[in-house]
Amino acid sequence: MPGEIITLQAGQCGNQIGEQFWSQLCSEHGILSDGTTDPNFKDVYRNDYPDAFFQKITDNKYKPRAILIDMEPRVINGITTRCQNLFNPRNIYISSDGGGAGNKWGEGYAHASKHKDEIFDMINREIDNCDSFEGFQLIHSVAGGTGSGFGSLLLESLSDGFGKKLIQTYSVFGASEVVVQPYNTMLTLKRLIQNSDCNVVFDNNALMNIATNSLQVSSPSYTETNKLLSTVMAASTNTIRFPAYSYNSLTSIFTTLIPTPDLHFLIPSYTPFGFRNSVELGKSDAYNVILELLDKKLRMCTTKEEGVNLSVLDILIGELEYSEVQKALVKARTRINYVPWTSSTIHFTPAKKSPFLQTTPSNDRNDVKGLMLANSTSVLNLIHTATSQYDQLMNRNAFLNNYVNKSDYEAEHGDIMEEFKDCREVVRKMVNEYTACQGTNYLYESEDEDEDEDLL
Amino acid sequence: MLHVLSGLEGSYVRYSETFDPKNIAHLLKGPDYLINMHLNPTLKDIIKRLMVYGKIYFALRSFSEIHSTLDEGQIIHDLCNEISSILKDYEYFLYFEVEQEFKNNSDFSITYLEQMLSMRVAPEFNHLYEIITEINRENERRSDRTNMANMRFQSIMKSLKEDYYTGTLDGVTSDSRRSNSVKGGLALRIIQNRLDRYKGDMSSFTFLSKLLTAVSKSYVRMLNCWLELGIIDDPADEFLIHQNTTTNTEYSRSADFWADKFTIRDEGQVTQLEPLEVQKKIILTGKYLNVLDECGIDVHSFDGFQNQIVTLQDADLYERIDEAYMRANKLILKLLFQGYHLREFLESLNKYFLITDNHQFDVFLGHATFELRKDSRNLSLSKLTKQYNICFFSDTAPSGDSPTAVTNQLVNHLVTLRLSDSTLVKELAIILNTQTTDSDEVFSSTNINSLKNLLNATLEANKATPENRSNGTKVEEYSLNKLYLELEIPFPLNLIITRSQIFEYQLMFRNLLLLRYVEKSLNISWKEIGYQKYWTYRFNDSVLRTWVKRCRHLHFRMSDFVKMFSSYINFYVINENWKNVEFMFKKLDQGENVELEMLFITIKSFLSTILGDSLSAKMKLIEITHQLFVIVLLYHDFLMSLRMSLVLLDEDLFSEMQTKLPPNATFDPQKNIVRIAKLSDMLQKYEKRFDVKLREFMEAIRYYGEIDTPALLTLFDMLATAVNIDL
Repeated sequence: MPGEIITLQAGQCGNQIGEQFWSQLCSEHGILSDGTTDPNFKDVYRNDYPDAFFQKITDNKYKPRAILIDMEPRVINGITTRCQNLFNPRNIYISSDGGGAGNKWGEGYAHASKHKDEIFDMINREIDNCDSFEGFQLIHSVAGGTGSGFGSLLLESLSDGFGKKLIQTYSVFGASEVVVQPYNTMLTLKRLIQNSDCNVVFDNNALMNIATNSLQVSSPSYTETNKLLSTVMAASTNTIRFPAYSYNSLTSIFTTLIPTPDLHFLIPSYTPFGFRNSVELGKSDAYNVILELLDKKLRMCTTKEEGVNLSVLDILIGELEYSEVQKALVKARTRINYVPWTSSTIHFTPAKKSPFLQTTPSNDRNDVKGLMLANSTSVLNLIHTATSQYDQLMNRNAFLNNYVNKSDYEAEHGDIMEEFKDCREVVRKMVNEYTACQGTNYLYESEDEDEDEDLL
Repeated sequence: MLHVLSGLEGSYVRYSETFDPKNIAHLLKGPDYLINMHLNPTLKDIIKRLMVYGKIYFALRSFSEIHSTLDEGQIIHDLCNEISSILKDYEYFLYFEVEQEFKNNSDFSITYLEQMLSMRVAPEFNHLYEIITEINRENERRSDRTNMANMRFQSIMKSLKEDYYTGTLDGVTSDSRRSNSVKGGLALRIIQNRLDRYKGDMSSFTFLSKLLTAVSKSYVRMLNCWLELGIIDDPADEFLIHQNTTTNTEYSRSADFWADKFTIRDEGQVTQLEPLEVQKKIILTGKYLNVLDECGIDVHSFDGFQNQIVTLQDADLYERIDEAYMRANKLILKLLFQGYHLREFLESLNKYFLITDNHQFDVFLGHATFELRKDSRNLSLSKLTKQYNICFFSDTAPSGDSPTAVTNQLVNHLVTLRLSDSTLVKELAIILNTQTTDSDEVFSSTNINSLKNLLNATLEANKATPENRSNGTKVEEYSLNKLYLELEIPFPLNLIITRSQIFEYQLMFRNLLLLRYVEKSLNISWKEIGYQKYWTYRFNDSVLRTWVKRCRHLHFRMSDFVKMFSSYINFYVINENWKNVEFMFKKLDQGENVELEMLFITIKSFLSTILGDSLSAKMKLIEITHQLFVIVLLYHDFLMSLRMSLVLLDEDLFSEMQTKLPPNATFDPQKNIVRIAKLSDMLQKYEKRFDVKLREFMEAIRYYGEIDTPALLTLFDMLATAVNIDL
């Protein structure tokens, strides 16, 4: 059943992306940056469903169903200054000491564990404002301290406390310069695998490349890469917010993409971003967009190999010619590989362009934009990078002093080295599962019999 | 001789003995004269020729006296006037000119008289006499009842063959009633026939066209009045179009009534208005204007149409009719689109019946899943209705005055959930098996009774359509199969969205309801098998773990199939075909000339195409599709029922959950071997049944796609590349 979705944004990265995401949602629904409806659109008939993401306070006032979490005040204060009155102040959690997690997963995790009740109060209050609450989405980075550590505890507690609700994450990999990044990533990955239902993964390098190529910025900043991310998030929730024939709930999207709960990592590709030179790149119609989406360079997750697909969903925004779509899908279908046991099809759904967006040269009504979500084994590249970096550090026991001894984490939750081992094992199993699923016998074999560690 | 020429008896020339001045028929025919045998034989020949004038004069005079009452209609009345005025000329000629000549001209002779008469009088007299004779003969024929019955039957047969009666606004119904006397168009037609015969004869042609113009004056006035205002000012029933009236105000706004509120009189059609195309335009023009009038719009307030018709023989008659027709089209389209928001209304119907906005409907399905599974006898329709209304509540209180909001509100008020007596499949079976009456047989019937028998036989056959298509699964009993939406379209929209369009909308709704329900169920079981604690439990037995994986796999394949099917229906069938309707809207927006009829046909073909393309026009396809969905739903039920079995199958899980289990539950490894074998067996059965049915389905859509529904090939191609099935 379509229902409301509560967004949790944790850490610097999560909140920055969140800010862009909400600003895009507001403009797509004719909502100003203070949450009031734009009086210019008073007479426009609303066939959208902003309620999935916003709570309607009065006839012309919306509040995002969002909970903002950080351990230092800078980012969130910036947001609340820029978007005054948009977010519910009671939904903002900033750690009282304001010192941040210092890029340490353990700090974030332990802090979250202590203040879990405060967060849960916010969540429960938000759920009370929903008619039929469907699930959570968490925006975070897996590399730093708050997004990864706080995020990890959130995922654990959510899956424990709201077992029947869906949990989706938008997880950014590698968006941090700190040396302990691989540790943070490994510790978070376990929670992504075990405590969430669907992860849309991004890696920072890929985002940087796309920003350089598509937005034509020579040295992209986080503002640009976050823009890419929020665009993907807006597109992937488009069919929920502008309901048409289908895909108007998280569930309906997940059932298409996730054949079994063991395999739930999705790689997004999007095209085109912003203005494009039509002479150079050709028309942005459904046909071109569908085929372009197969371009490895557009994947927001660096992949060396093509990878094999379990399922693919194209969300196309704009005016479509169905025959064009059909032609392109047939062609696209032959260019990608599928695991042997799945229906090798590219599912697709048209999505609506917001009636509230002004038409500008860079936002032509006839331009088609497309998001491709692929559940593909090429996610292994990302995991591989994470594990090899982790293994290198761990083999040398490097920088572990940040994690062991005297940390708040160990005081509460026990030996972190055990936790590291466990995490590494969970990730190994996930890799095995993604590797095994490419085999013809996948359905008839038990998963753990041959352990292909060499593959990593 | 002068006496004779003025229709009286002379001394040598007398009425024949058979002539009875009290017999109207005799009066109308005019007297035959007899010549006194003692008359100089040299004169006899010439007198014989002259006395014809007397006879004609007599006949014409009687005709104009007898028929000049207004009972016979304006046209006969005008004809009488014309005759009288010609007779007056004749009298003047006779009493002044001839008498003058007779008195003053020494050369005047009876031969000279004959010359004068034949030059000045004969042609007109002959034409008029022939015309009235024709009228008299026809009148006589009509006074005989048996002739009337035969004519009626002939005319019914004719109208069966020719009608394009559609039972809708754009239909043209003919009116087969017979007039008991010659009047109106019938009279005009007689003159016209004569005119046609004398086209080559200049003087006759001039005379006859003048006559026709004069006599048809009131007919043309009625035509103009009808084309401009939609009013029939025809007290004597003479005009081409006849209006049926009703006093029942309810009925006066129903589509049935409007379908044949105006009828074309199929006798006495003037030549110019005989082509069906022209008649259709004429009747529709006035009909549209009448719709405006019924909606309370003062038709007089519009600018009249520029080029009124002057005579039926105008060279640009058809252009003028076209002009009037387009004017009426413009007016009624404006009424429908701007006054009644036809476009938004259709979009609302799409929303409610074709579920183009699945959000609210999905919420409804979420609440109603349980009710919809019940047997229809145990179903609480009021509960369901309540849930339905809650989910569509936002439409009842529109946020704004936009036409979309207003029509959504209107449609929301108009629709009600109902339960049909039979399931969708059965209902479609009845429709598709309906035997149609053989047209050859109809046209070979010779009288009313044989026609009646034939029609009755067809009706009986249709009633006896077998109802034994029960597949016997519990899914057949779900009231889901019987639920439909009822809607009464308000006037004047009911003239363009008729009952049969609504019926098609209803069938589509029922198709989509099942499809959405299947999708919904799969979403529910996806959650169950992927996220429910027992299902995700790491079982010790690897056989069981593999079995779970295979369960998910089959589920995923079913879900893939249903999604592809649904994507085909939604985007390829509904959305793409709707674009044709939108194309018409666009034309209208751009101010192009659009005929309401074209719009009507477009909407009609939109609906029939989507029904056909969504596999509802072939019994075989309907059955296979339904059976496939039944397998999916049964599999869903199977998966949803396994929680308890799973707990019993794993020792660790069992002991973990023991407190929550019934006290008599035990962990029994021996039994479990059997249980697992059984589960595995069940799964295999579902896998096999799904594969077999899917193959059957693919073969069927390819077959029908190749023979008559090419859209199905698109679906076939889509599935063929995706589904791993050898065909």
